[in-house]
Amino acid sequence: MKKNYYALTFVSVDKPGIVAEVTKVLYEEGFNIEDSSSTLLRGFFSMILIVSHEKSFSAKDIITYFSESCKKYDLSISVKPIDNMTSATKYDRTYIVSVYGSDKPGIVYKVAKFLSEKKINIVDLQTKVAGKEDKPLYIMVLEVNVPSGLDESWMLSLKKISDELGTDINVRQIETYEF
Amino acid sequence: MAIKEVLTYPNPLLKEISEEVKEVTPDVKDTIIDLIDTMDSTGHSVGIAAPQIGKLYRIIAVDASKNKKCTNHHGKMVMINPEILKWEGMLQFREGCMSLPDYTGNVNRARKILVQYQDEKLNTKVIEAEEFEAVLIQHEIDHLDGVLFIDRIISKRTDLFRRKKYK
Repeated sequence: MKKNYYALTFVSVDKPGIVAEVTKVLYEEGFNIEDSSSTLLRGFFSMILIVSHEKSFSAKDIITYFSESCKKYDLSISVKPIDNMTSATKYDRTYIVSVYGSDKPGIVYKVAKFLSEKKINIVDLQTKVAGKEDKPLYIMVLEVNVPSGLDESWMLSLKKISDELGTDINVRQIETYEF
Repeated sequence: MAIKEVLTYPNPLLKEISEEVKEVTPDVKDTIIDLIDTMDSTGHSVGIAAPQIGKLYRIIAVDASKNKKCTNHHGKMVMINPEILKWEGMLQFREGCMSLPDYTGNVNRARKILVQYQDEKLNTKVIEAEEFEAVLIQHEIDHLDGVLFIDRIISKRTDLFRRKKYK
């Protein structure tokens, strides 16, 4: 049976009960949660879900299902139907890249731009500002997939960019073992 | 003997605690052979525990030599009633498991272990295993206590990954 996929995003001021409210609507309307991620960003609630349904809906239809919930919790919602769930690029190596240093604008952009030029795919990105208010420390951790055939010189080039930004960088390969 | 089907979660046998082996009965003998045959039949499998083939005996088979990057190992071993006597250090691997084919996860394990076990004639032996082999043995011993690697993941948000490719 063909499944229809939708990406749903919710953002609001954090309070207890939002996940229960959203998933209640999904359950009652017959959606299946395929994947989800929910976290607090600077105390702000954010949740992204990939859901599926046998029936096809427009984004507007789905938003209507949540109209009461959005009012109740002052939630912002966005819905995007997904046509193709699979990625065609072949990757064979996974790396964790940690970048840290004093906070300044442009760190994510410059690192991401370089990775994009090398066709390295960011599969996970987390950033945090830690340290003291007058001395903020910026921490970014990326998980990246490196395409087959790319030699290891990208790590040196990335190190150079990090030096220019005045940040420290650490790159380590993640190997997965099946036991 | 035979290549057995590897049970996958949520098969309830994977959450059971296996029994100590007190004598090498014909069934125990068969289980040992089946474990080795099943492990050898899959190119990427470096270890297997008896509950994974539906036998609740405290028996594991490991072969760290199948990982070309692992240079410090004891080769192919059958370990009966294995018990970790000493743990040292810590390291993190991203683990996958034949019984949980859709996921991988970051797990913290001891870097070095001292393991006591019995061989196929029930002679007691003690070995020290390090790095990859130590992680492998810890993973397989967990199966004897009904523990899967997902039970050991600390942060489900950052440490659990849907498997991105199949070998």
